[in-house]
Amino acid sequence: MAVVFIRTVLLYFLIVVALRIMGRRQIGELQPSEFVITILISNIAALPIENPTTPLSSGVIPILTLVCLEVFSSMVLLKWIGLRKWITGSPKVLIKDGILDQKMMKQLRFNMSDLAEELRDKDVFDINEVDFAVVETTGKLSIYKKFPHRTVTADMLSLSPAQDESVRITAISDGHIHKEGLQLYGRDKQWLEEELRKRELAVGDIFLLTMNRSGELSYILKGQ
Amino acid sequence: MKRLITCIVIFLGIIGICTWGTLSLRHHSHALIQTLQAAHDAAAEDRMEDALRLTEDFLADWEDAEQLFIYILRHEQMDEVTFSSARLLPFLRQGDSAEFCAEVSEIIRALEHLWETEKPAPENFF
Repeated sequence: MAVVFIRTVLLYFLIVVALRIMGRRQIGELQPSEFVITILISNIAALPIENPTTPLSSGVIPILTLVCLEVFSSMVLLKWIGLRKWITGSPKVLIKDGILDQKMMKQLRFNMSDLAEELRDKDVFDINEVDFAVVETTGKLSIYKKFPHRTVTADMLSLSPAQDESVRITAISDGHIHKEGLQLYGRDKQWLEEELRKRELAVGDIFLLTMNRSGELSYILKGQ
Repeated sequence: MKRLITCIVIFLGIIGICTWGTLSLRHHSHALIQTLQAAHDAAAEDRMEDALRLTEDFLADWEDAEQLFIYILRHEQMDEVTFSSARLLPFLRQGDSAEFCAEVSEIIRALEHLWETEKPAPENFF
């Protein structure tokens, strides 16, 4: 039993490292080859866990080999566009100028229910609202709505921000200063501590503190 | 780039380990077979002391080899050799050379099979 436990712990860390090497992607965004490798890794990892008479190397070696091959192939595909198209496929236009390409639907084995489901997922309940729709290589549907149905943007209304609208970064969380966040807006720990002193606060008093580019602070005190 | 270098290092490491494992398996299995073959011939020619010495050498070598094989081979593959080996010395001590030779032949076949299933050859790839 102890062997199974230790093997499981070892394989857990191996898979975490392996997936970290492969890079960060959500399951839904996996390319076909990445999807196959993820399934293969989970199956291979199960073999030495289930059968203690199988050496751990018979799980470790294939997992690491698959990860290396995946990284190598992604590097090759980055340079070799022709091969990339052949391996990962290319995006397919499903709706062009508001007209549904039924031939393409057949080719992609996409039925109306699939399309309606994907559109609803994008908050589109009427296909007539769509100007352009593309099935990405990951299988996800990207849409571009017709002008009257597009979300109104500040640009359309010629609006400009009244104040600093930069992203608020976390400078302190749980009483710990995030130096990387401060550096992003050209500030440092000393500046932050000085600002807190002005407000008669200490870093340890703060649960969450965010700031924008112009240095405006917003905070929640611990226990508040 | 860091990721690519990590993968190249891992990949070369895997190739190195696999090559080392394969060569070690070949070396050990061939050496063990040679020792056993010599013990078999000695027993067949009624040189029981030589057979005993060679068998003891084989058992010591097998114990060493087992420490390595355990990391690269399925344990079931080695069990047959381990269990059969345990019968060799009693057969020799009882002077039962026929049973001894039969057991040795079985171990030799098992060792040959170990190498045959692990050697990098087309019949094992497909």
